[in-house]
Amino acid sequence: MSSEREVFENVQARDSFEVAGHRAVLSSWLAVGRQSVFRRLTRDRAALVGLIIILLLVTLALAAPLLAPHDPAAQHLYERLASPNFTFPLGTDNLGRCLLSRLLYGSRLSLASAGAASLLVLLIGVGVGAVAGYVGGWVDIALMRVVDLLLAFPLLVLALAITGFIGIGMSSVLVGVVSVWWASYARIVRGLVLSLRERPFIEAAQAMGVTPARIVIRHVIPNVMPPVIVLATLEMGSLILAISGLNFLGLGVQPPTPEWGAMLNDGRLFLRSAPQLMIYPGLAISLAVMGFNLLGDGLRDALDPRL
Amino acid sequence: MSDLRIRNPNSAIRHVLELALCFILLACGASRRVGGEQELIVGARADDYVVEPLKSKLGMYPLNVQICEPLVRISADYRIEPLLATRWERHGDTWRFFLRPGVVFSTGQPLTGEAVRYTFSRLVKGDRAGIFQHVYLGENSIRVMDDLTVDITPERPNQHLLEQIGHANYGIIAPGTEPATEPVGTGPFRLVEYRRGEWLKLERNERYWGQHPNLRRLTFRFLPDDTTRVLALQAGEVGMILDAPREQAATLRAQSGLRVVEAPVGRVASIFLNIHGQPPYDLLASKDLRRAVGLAIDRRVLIESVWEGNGEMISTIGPRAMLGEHAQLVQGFSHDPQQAAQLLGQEGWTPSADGGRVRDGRRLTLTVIAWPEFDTATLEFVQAQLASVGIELQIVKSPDTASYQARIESGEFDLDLEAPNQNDANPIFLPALRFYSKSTGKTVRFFAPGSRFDEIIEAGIEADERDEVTRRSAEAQRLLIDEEAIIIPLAGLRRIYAMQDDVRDFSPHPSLLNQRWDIISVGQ
Amino acid sequence: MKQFVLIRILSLFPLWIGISVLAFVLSNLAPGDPATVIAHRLSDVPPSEEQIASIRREYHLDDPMPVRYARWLGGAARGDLGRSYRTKEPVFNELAAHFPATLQLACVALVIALVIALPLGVLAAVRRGSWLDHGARVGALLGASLPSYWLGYLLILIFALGTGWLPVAGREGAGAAVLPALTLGLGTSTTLARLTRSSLLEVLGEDFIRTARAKGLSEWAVVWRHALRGALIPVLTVTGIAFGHLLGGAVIVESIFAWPGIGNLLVNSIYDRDYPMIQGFVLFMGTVFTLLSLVADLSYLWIDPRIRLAKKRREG
Repeated sequence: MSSEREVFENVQARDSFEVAGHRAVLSSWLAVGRQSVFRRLTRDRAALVGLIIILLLVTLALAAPLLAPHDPAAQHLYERLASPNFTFPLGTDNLGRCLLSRLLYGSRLSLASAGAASLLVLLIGVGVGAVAGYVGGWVDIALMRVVDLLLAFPLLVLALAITGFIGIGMSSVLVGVVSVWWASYARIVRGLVLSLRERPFIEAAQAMGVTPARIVIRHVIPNVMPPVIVLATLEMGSLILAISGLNFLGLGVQPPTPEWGAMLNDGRLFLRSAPQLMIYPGLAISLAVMGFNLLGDGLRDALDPRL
Repeated sequence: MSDLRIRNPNSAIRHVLELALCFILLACGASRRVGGEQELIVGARADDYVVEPLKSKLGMYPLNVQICEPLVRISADYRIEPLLATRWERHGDTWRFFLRPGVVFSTGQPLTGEAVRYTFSRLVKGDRAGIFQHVYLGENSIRVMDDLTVDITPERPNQHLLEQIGHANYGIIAPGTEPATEPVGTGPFRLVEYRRGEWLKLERNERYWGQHPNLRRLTFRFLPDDTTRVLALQAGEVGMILDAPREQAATLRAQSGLRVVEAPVGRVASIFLNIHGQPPYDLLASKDLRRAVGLAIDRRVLIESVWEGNGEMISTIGPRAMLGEHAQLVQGFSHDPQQAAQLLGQEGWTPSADGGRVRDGRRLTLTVIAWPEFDTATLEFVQAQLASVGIELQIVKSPDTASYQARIESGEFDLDLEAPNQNDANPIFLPALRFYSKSTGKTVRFFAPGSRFDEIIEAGIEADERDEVTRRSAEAQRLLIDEEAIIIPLAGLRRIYAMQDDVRDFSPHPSLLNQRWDIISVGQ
Repeated sequence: MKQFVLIRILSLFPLWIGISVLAFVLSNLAPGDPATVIAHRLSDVPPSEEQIASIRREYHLDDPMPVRYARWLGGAARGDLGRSYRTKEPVFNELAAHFPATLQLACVALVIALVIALPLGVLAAVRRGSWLDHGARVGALLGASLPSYWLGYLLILIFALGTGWLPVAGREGAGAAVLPALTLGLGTSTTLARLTRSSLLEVLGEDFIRTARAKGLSEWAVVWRHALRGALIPVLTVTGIAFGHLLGGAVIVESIFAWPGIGNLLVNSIYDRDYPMIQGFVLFMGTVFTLLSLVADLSYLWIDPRIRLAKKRREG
């Protein structure tokens, strides 16, 4: 009977296997510590490739003003849809703007917004999940119902409504994405915190009379972070795709601001005549997503002792 | 142990693989759907039809597929031709129409004056969409004199009735039918099946009074995604597409087996300027600033370069054919960035370090909104052109028409980029609709020039001769464009149709609503 | 067990309230209103204030929001979800008419995802660390990293135009579902592939596998006969959740392929500000998700204690 109860609790955190995997990561982190993790990580070639890709993209993004040969908004109308040449290394788009410059500047917005969204989602998700998992009871039930609600709610409705208040722009895309995304984090963190709660060092802290708030902040959250970071890295890919998807629908950046998803949208009509308009931003998005996924996989493999 | 395990996953996997194989084989075996002889499948845009009993008409608006016919027809050069009415007379304020004898509806009922009365009185009763803004029809305006004669007396004198009733909304429907869901008309086609968002299937009406259409079956498939529509044509899945995106016109022209046909200019992409805006949208109250905006844009480059030649230089807000010889009255804007800069300087806008302009600490920034169908490239082009004389343009794109409508009605814009429709043959229609202060349109209050303009419009509404009406319309446009710079015409838009080589006798009409499908034939 | 299911089903009610309030508030606060949209659709002449006002009266759009919500709620409690502003058909009928198309797409997509993910995952696990492993992982990732709109057009170009085997768009014809489902399925396949790999690796590390190997069985026999059964269980659980995501996430794919599913219906309803449809959709999808997750949890619950018991017996 008691094992069934355990399973009930287990099942409350819905992504059962995922959570079990994160729990294993958690245990290993608590037991093993940093050094062997790094060793395992560096031995994983795929993860290293992912890391290199990410570092490369971030560097390019930061150095965009230095590297871009042209102003991304400058139109050279007599050289529209040019193939790669000396002046325009990747060619030009339908308004004669340098594709390389737009990609470089676009990376800043695409990566920065995904990073900002990720950070916010992390903060809110970990916060809510930790509170729900640690405090339990009605707080837990109520918070998890809110999570359920958000997970079932279509992102598009939310995003469109938000553009009504804030207006179209990157900020409303971010608000929309963050409002929905934190829910899945919260659920997983809650599951982790549930298992963490039974641990001796937490019980010891409780016995010593440390306030719940302090326990959560100083003991629960720091120990929950490693699996959460794995999760965040893996989710970055989806975040990038979601943000570029909303930009693709026209809900995000305003012209002429370059952003990969918006560039994909602009290039749609030139699918046959100038496919490079879609290929370059598509590749860029794919590369970024792949980099984060490879790194995330590597991190998880390194941390998970079962593998 | 074994009875506790899940059902054998191995066989489950096998089943899954078999299923997958079936799918792949099915896919390979799928035959391509090809239209048979005298059958045409047309790829159309998104299905915009809304069901409103008493107000909407399936197959008539916004997509007119000739299920019903109005009393008169509007030709490609905006002339009135007899259709269900063979001739008409005017007696004072009354118009008398003589109906064509021997016409029956697709169900077999004969066309009589009663059908005309039924159609018009329904329109009056259900009129919520303002079709009748300047038509002045009332409950008692229609009188059936005999089976083939109908008198129409508008409640106020209306010189333009003839042109107005050529609009698809006045298609004559069979008495007792509800055209919102089951249209019954006298036209060359009849409805077979409508699946919202998927297709509209029609068949030749064997009881048609006129020349039978060559097409036996005509299907409109709704393919909202522009690229998918083009790909469907290239794959041979449809015989013709409407509104091929201009960016793909060159590719389609170059492809053998396909043909591209452009309609004459039906609409003009124009910038409407908000001259009665509240701060911060109050800058365009200055005429010189408005003129500067108009002078800064190089239309020729827009058409030749951004639009790849798919447009026409035009200085009026409607098709030139509507104005005839009076079109010369309207000069339009030239491209003169120096003069634009000069005007800005005169207004006190001094150049700032970053390429913009300032005056009393306020930066010269204008906000533009656009009808959602407008491509970003045109907006960005205008933005760059204005930037070259120091005007910063902020683009506010709307994700959908509801947001756009909300925005424009709130007045929170300086410039509005759109391409107003001209679907009836009345020359005074367009300027009256958007700029006449007594027009009931919701956005008139931002653009109305004032009493002098109103007088010209009223003279045009009351004028008897078509030539007089046309002249008034030209005068009104001259005021709007040349004198007051309230509207800046950018370029004439031509609808682009693309089709397979074997689609013949397609004659494009400047207005999609009046496009004829019954003269098309397919094959040798 | 029964209590568990009962609680989950009862929790549907607060979910319905919560999600419908949220949807109602958000749709009404979004800019634009349905009366204006309808008025514009009926005529090419911009409508007057009066005309829009009369449509608003007809749809009771001028009543205060709480009143309108209460009215809707009252109807919904009786099973009447109202009528679509656009087609005047009952909301439920519209949903029912469009759902099968999305269901079909999700099913085929899931099949494709499994067909790709399972073999790849198994191979990657069995040949762990080899180039096959890395290659499979990268390949799966590539498929998942491609934005769906890009992938969709690419597939149309290759398979519909290039070879002419499959239709470009629409739901007619036997093979019509393949391209959109492929576009959808490739994304799901990566999660499942990754999961299969890690799950199989976990099982391969267990004692009873070592026993089987010691008996002299070949690696493939070990995997096929012993490891795979246990490894696939969590995969099947997550598949249930992935299915839910597929049902809700087909919006872009449906619009590119002109697929008449509920994704398309939702987008059109949002653009039309068709409030009853939006409410109905949100309620419907919320219920579908909750039921799917219930089924997923139940399957895990059903499986789990027995595995535990089995393990205990093995050790004991």
